[in-house]
Amino acid sequence: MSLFKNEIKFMFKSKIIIFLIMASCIIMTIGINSINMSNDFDLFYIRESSSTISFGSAKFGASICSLLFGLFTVLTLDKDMRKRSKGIIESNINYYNLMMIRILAIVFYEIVATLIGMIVVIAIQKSLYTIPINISYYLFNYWIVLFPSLLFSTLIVSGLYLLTNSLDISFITLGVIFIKSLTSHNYLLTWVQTNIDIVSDFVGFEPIGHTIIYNRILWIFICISIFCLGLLFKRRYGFNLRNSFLTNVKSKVLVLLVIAAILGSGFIYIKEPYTMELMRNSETIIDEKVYLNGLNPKIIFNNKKREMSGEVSYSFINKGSNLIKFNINEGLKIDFIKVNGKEIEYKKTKDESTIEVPVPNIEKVEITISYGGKIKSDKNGVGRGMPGYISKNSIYLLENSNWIFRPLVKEGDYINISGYYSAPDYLTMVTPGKLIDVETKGGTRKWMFEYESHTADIGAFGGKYKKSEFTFQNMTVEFYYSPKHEEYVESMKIEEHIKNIMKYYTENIGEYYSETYPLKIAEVALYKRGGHSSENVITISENMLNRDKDMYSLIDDNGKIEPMDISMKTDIFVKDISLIAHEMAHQWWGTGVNVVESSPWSSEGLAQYFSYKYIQNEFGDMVSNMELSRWENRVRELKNYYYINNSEMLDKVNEKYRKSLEMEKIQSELYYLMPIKLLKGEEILGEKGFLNELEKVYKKYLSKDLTYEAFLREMNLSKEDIEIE
Amino acid sequence: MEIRIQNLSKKYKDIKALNNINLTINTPAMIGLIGPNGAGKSTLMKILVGQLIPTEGDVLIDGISLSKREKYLKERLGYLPQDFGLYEELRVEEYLDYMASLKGIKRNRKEVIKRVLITTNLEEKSRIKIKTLSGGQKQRVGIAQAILNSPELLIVDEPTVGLDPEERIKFRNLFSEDSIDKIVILSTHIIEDVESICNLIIVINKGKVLFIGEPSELVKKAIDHVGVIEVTGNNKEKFLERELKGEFKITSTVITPTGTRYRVVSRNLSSSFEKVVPSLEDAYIYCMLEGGEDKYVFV
Repeated sequence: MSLFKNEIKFMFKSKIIIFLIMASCIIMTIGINSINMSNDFDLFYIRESSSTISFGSAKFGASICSLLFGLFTVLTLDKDMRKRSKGIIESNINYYNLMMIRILAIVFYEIVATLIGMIVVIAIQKSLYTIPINISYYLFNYWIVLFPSLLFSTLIVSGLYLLTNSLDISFITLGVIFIKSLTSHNYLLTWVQTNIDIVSDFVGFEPIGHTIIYNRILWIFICISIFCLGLLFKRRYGFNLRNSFLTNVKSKVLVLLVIAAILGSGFIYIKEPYTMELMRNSETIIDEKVYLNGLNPKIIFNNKKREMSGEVSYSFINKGSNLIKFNINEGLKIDFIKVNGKEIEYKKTKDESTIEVPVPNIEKVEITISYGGKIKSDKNGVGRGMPGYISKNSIYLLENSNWIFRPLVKEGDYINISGYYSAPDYLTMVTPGKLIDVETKGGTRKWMFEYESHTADIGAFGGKYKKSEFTFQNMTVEFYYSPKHEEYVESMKIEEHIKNIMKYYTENIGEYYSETYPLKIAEVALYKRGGHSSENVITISENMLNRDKDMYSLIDDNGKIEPMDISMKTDIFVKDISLIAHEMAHQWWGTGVNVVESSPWSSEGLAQYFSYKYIQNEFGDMVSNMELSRWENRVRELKNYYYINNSEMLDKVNEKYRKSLEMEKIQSELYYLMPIKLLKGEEILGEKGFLNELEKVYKKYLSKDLTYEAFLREMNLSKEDIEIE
Repeated sequence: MEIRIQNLSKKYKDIKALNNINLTINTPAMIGLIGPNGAGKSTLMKILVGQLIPTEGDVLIDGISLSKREKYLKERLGYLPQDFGLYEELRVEEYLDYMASLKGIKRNRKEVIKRVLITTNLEEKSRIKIKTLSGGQKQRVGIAQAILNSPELLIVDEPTVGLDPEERIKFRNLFSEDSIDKIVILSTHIIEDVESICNLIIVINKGKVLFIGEPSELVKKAIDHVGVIEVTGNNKEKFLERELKGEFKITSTVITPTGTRYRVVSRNLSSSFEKVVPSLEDAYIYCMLEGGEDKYVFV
């Protein structure tokens, strides 16, 4: 203990540590505004709060201070080599015991830097920003995000230094591991700054908190492995690497520790419980001989445990198949499967993402699956593109999380869907279709719903919502948003814009597809960016309803913006409205008319086109042209891409990279190329003529499939007509 | 304290730095370890301070193997290597304070530091940063840290390098006085240092101990092997050729009005030389000449 105190005193006298602590505080202070400094457009002008300030400063601090403390650690450990003082020191004390004490002293200063940094940022938030402090965000962000990254950096570089005995190699290797962390999409590898871009103001850090903690546990094991490996190879008695190892390996405790830490790291990595390769592994081959015509989910959410359980019954028309496959979510464990009332044995595929259920070769097949557990999210989407999660205060389950096991069969013209979601009574559930009843009992509330659809895409969204309801013509719009964001919704006249969009679409496309089902728009956390539309439910991420008060000055009393005032704020606001308009357009193109996808043709192109038309109509050409140039740039970028132009070279790149390129290409075609083609069609037919034709197509194909060929035929256009150079 | 070196060998790949050394040293002892560069002196000292381990043999400290007594040894050791560095950004007293804590000195630390500052004549420099000190002053700081814990075993490698003559004398005396109740091992090239203070000499070359004994014994061995001769100008070249052939080793050359006067050491001193009383330096050279034949002449 006295040696430890002495090292602390000694380091303090060297002044570098004072500089490092001061630098850390400055970096964390700069980080307060790091969200606006990033190139993440979605997060610009996000309203500042304890969550954004503490997370921004902690994450920015972690990214830079972990390198600074890593460098300080390796310089400290290498000091006696550089100063030729090792001989003297080693004659007084076991040198490696001293190294350990020095590492502990560095960790002590990392704690001090974290603590002082946190206090400084709290003081700034309180005095300069005058925003109330929520200490839980600070504790989480500073002690789960920031401090461990400093600790890991020190342990990793110490282990590497012991292993290589070289300042340069150990620091460069730390740099490589650091860059890997910054660029990885796999949350398990992001030890420096975590995979999260922002902590949700709407639902807090709970949906992603456990993944961050798991990442930290994994890296504690990895760091111990690297450090103990370093100890196993530490140079002693003037020996080289091999002979040092042969000397050190005699310590059974150390060997056991290395083995335990390496096995522990491997086990924690492989047995990671929160994610799966959801998108990549999902099978997509459809059995054309089977139709789904009924779906009955009865789901109970246990938010405290982040679990769900329930029974889902499927009705099929079978025209000659002996097997029905389902894409599943690995986190959900099956209790039993019944086929026409009889429990049967089923098979899981090797990667556990699909099950095969044997069925009798008869026309009507009823399958009931009882299952439950914790939903797994996509491995590469944690924090940014999570298709599903259940947390204490929210439920967000998109169909592509396979939370309702997805049968790989054809979908009938109409699927009768009815069922219920049971959730804690403090949550408001946004159900698809029509809510037919709500029952409250013993702290839970059962939300019963029913509807007919041409897809089995079914989502569940729940949260502590404020519900706003308004009507437009013969339809009802239910708008669910966080009470925390009410001021923004009112000040920026978001409801007015929703109404305006409704008006524009009904006037230019046709009536909303249903008089029975209200349009439901729900705010969701930023852990899934952008928006989503399935059936009559639209979700929009919270950034669109939670921007800074500075934005209020942008619009006049009618919700209009000054067309000449093209600024970053305008661009952000227009993008937000454009995204809402895009998702709402899917109610016409996607839910109303089933647009049969065949790249570049899909409902996305039409939704993009109509959101553009709305923006043009509402804010003028100058504003809408910004969006058009973005599309053109994206298409141009892709066309100039080497692997896209030289498709034969695509076979030579690794599969993961090839898939991501192909995905990027398809997205570019669907979202950017197709709307440009539609604008070309508009140029040929004239704006009025083009919109009139589209209106006719909508009426004719409402509740029907619309292929690209049918669309072109109806519009009197050819592929060549709308070809883009 | 008793240090017993048993059959000690140290190999670096194919080179034997130490070859089967056997020694026993007991407190008190003031030992001069001498030998040419690369003789194995530093290797021996590093083994004694636990920084290297022998390839063969063992070192017993008070009857127990050094490998099991590392802590015991370090608590009783003071060591100053030949090539060393200090924490130059610190002040002298801060550095000594840090070293005192590493040595586990908890009580009266300030007094202990003050004592060594006086001993090493660094009192006035105690508040000065080490980086501003001269080479000799840094050497004194090195010695100061070695004696902080009043070690039972003090091992110093070339401690008087860089010191002025007055300081050298002071340190020689310091080591000598210290050796009353401890073992001091002084490795040096300066025979004068050894001659004036050591009661035991160890001559080492090519990893082998050539001599262990009192300085007077080493001098005694060289009697009849040291001579002087005056060579006139014409014979000078022929005389120097004889040295190249290994007949003798010239230890001093003095130009005189009549020619050049040479002092030589030879295994078989010819009658042409005038025999003189050998100095310790002559004796050391004689020892080297004998050791060069790869045989234990004196041990």
